[in-house]
Amino acid sequence: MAEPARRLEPAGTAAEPLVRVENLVKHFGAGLLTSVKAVDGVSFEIREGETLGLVGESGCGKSTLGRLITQLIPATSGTVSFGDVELTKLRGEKLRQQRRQLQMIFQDPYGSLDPRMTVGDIIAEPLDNYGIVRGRARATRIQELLRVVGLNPYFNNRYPHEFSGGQRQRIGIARALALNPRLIVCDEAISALDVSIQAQVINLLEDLQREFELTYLFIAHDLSVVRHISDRVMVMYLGKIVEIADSAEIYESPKHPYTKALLSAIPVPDPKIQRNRRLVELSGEIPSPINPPSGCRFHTRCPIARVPGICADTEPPLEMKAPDHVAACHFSDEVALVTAPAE
Amino acid sequence: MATAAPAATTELLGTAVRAQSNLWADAWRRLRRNRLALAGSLYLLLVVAVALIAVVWTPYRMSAVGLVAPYEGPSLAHPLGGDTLGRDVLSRLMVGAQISLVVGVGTQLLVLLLGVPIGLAAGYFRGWFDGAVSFLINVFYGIPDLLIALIMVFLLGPSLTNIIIAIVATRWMDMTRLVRGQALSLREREFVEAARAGGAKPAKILFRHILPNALGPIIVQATFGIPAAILFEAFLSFLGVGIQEPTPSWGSMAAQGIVAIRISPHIVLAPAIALSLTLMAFNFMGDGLRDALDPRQKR
Amino acid sequence: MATPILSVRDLHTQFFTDDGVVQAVDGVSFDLFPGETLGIVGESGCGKSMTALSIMRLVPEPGRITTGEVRFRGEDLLKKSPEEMREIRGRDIAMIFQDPQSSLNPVLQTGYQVEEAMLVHDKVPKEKAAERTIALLKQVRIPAAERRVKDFPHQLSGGMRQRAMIAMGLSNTPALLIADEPTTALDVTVQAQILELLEDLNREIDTSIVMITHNLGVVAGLCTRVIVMYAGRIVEEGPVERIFDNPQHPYTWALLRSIPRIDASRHERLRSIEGLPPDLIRPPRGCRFHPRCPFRVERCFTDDPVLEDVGPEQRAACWVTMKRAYEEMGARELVDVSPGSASGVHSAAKDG
Ligand SMILES: Nc1ncnc2c1ncn2[C@@H]1O[C@H](COP(=O)(O)OP(=O)(O)OP(=O)(O)O)[C@@H](O)[C@H]1O
Ligand SMILES: Nc1ncnc2c1ncn2[C@@H]1O[C@H](COP(=O)(O)OP(=O)(O)OP(=O)(O)O)[C@@H](O)[C@H]1O
Ligand code: SF4
Ligand SMILES: [Mg+2]
Ligand SMILES: [Mg+2]
Repeated sequence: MAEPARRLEPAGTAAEPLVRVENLVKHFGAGLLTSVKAVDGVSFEIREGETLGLVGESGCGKSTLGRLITQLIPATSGTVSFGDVELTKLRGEKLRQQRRQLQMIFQDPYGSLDPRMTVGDIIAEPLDNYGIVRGRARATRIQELLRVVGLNPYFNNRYPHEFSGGQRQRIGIARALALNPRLIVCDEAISALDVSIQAQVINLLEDLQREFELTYLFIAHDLSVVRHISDRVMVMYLGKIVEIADSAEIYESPKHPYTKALLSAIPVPDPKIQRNRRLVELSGEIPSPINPPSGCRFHTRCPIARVPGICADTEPPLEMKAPDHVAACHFSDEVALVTAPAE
Repeated sequence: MATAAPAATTELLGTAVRAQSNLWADAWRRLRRNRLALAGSLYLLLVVAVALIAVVWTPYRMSAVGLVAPYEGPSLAHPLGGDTLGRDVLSRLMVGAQISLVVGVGTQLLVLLLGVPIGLAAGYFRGWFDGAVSFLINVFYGIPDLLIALIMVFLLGPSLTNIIIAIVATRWMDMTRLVRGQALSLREREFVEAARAGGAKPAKILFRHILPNALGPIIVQATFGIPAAILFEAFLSFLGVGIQEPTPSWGSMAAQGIVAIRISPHIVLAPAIALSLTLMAFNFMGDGLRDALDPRQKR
Repeated sequence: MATPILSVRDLHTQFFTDDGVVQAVDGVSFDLFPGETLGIVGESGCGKSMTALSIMRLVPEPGRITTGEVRFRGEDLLKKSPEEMREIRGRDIAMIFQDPQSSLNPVLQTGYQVEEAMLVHDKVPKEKAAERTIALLKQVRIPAAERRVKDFPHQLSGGMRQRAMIAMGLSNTPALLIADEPTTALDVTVQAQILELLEDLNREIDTSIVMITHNLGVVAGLCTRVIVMYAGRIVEEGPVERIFDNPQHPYTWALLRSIPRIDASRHERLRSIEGLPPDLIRPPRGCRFHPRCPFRVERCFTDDPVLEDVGPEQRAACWVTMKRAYEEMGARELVDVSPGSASGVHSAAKDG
């Protein structure tokens, strides 16, 4: 088990943590004796008012982690605390009252909107649930929220299927904003938007953050967006955290080879560069969370792994490698030397 | 933003706050435009009106024997002729409408009232409740329908209410199982999770999110269930444990007439045609309702 | 020049709603040549998916293709019978849908669904189907594919679902592949591998690809030609290098400016295009982009521009074009891209 990351943060510089996650585990049953180890013992904090970017391989447990933090699914073990409240202990009405503060923008804009509800009702549902506004004020608020996310306010009586993918995603964003929550888990919240509307939404999220001290957990695959919006970035691989650091720092000097590979694969919007790029090739098949590799989970694909050796035998702890920079790799000093293969 | 207002925004600022519509209002609007559903509901209204009129007035006393010669065909005085005992078929048909409607609609309402909440709760909450419900469903499926109904009628006695209860006892499983299955698959959908994230209480999730999305199959099942219940009652009458003579139901009338189908087909045909038309009307209405409740069908 | 495998002419797709007619696709024409990869980019809601669905003849109710021609290998698909279309779909033309629900049924096992997609066209013998399903899922990098075939869609992560759909699309090695946002849920390493897979397909069996995406990096890497759409129309088209280096339509220009640069400083405000996207029931008169265009001139308010040559194989529908905007309106120095900010026409518009 990894040590709680908290102790690794340098004292003093850190703002008060809003969310504290300790040894969080989520296993989904799969067959009789096996289970999918979607999130497998993670510990970290989200500081009040910051944006924590979360990136990682598809299927590594990002959405599951987001669902655990908002307590939409119960954890197998471990704790999630929000402020002074331990969310993992709450049930029923107490949890529902806390939900007001924690909202989530869902990954799939098609699945997450009730097909039998008008867009206005979808957006206002959280408001109704807590009895916040009624009547004319409700209608006004709906239109205001629609406008904020760049949709025509008189779309309120349409149904979700009448919208394009990106328009639906914005409906989901409006719904999450409705309650003025303190924490929003943005799960691929902008992936279906064109870059211009994407820019609008990001600017909006940043404005809201400044105004209301909002905190975001920002899950995304688009690393240039993550870099832009995040204060710190957390990288996951196969249910584990492999690196957390300040966003400028992690992009400049990653301390985990997986992060390095990820950064090398960012597509560049320039045909001349993009055509002739070399990626840090991750050889080997992607391992499955049902049977994660021993030792360091990345060792089967790592370009600097010592196999057989320590990498295959011992799980590297999440350790401080530089100020405010933790990583889980036995040879993090060598990461800087990893380069793309030459022509 | 407003200063350099381009055409699109000026227009927006001009629009007043629009009233919020919802699924039910939209469904009602769409239902009214559906011709077949309209025809179906008009016919059903007619049947209901006839049944109500029959409470206070029928052309002849429906139980009076020998008003016409037995088996006599339609005539001006007796537009639908006489039955095997020489009673006026029209009068009996009118009273029969009461019984059949009450049996058909009554059983389905009870089945819905039972099956929908139980199925929703079992499918959504799972756990021991689901286990108990599933067990009960299987037990009831294991026993033949007729046996259940006979046991119930013998236990309770053959009154109209008890016959309805007996039929419900044979039919609640289909609806419960259907609703349970729907809830089971809908609870995994992301929009249900999203509703929970938005602070919806379980009752609201069940009745505002899961139920509306399961309505299509439920309505179809219910509209098929109405004529099925009417027919099952006829079968019970045929066995002598249904509605007791001389009170007629469409089913019992047809059952009695079947012996004379060669010589006086009208005795069977009158209730049979009334029954088929009713069946069709319910189906048109059910289909209309299902389409109206599906926003994708919006026209 | 070779004959195009797909040629779309004057396609109009409209939705007849209670509020009015939504002109989702409004006169789109383009050609796709064998072995070509064509990118379609544009604002969210501008009709990209509807263009693709129109080609497949899968426009949902209450939408209809009102006029136009979609020639595939010379034959007009809009004149085919529903049975003929069913044959063509999946076998000759495959589509990877943006909406996971239109290809993945939530109550069926994922592997079974991929298998079905193959078996309906009997291009693959029955005994081989299960084997090929697993091979395909491996090819799209789904880990432990042997086990995953039994999972229901909700048990997969977003990216795995997307890859399952890609596997379905590739299962019959189609001649034309239309991919609608196929990589939005994939991390960059898997995305790179999927793009490589598509490239191989394109190179080895000459599959033509239409790639609809918001990720301009993907377009830059994969596509040879690009179409830019705005409000149901094509506003610019050309070879990928020209579109990226020298966009001529102000929308394309503004779109490219909105990309967050990986080297930009943190918390710097991103550039975006001012104003709301147009209403497709009552689209703006004249050029549809004029309410939000920084370079509009008087004429843009009234006259509808058509696609005209603006460079080698490059065409744009604009009265001004960026060439003039650079030369006369100082577009290069323009920081504020609010409507009419360069030409000053907006004040005139406001007054009258
Ligand atoms: N309800 C579930 N039942 C069983 N397994 C599940 C369930 N939900 C998720 N999983 C599994 O958990 C793992 C992590 O899934 P998760 O959705 O968190 O991934 P992710 O990091 O969000 O990936 P992506 O970037 O592709 O969305 C996957 O292997 C997935 O198959
Ligand atoms: N059923 C419908 N009824 C009315 N309008 C519709 C319907 N379906 C789509 N539209 C409209 O058609 C337009 C084009 O939609 P389309 O899905 O093609 O957009 P898109 O370019 O694919 O956008 P995105 O990038 O967000 O997926 C949208 O403005 C949408 O609102
Ligand atoms: S300059 Fe005129 S024609 Fe060109 S995009 Fe702008 S408004 Fe349209
Ligand atoms: Mg996910
Ligand atoms: Mg689309």
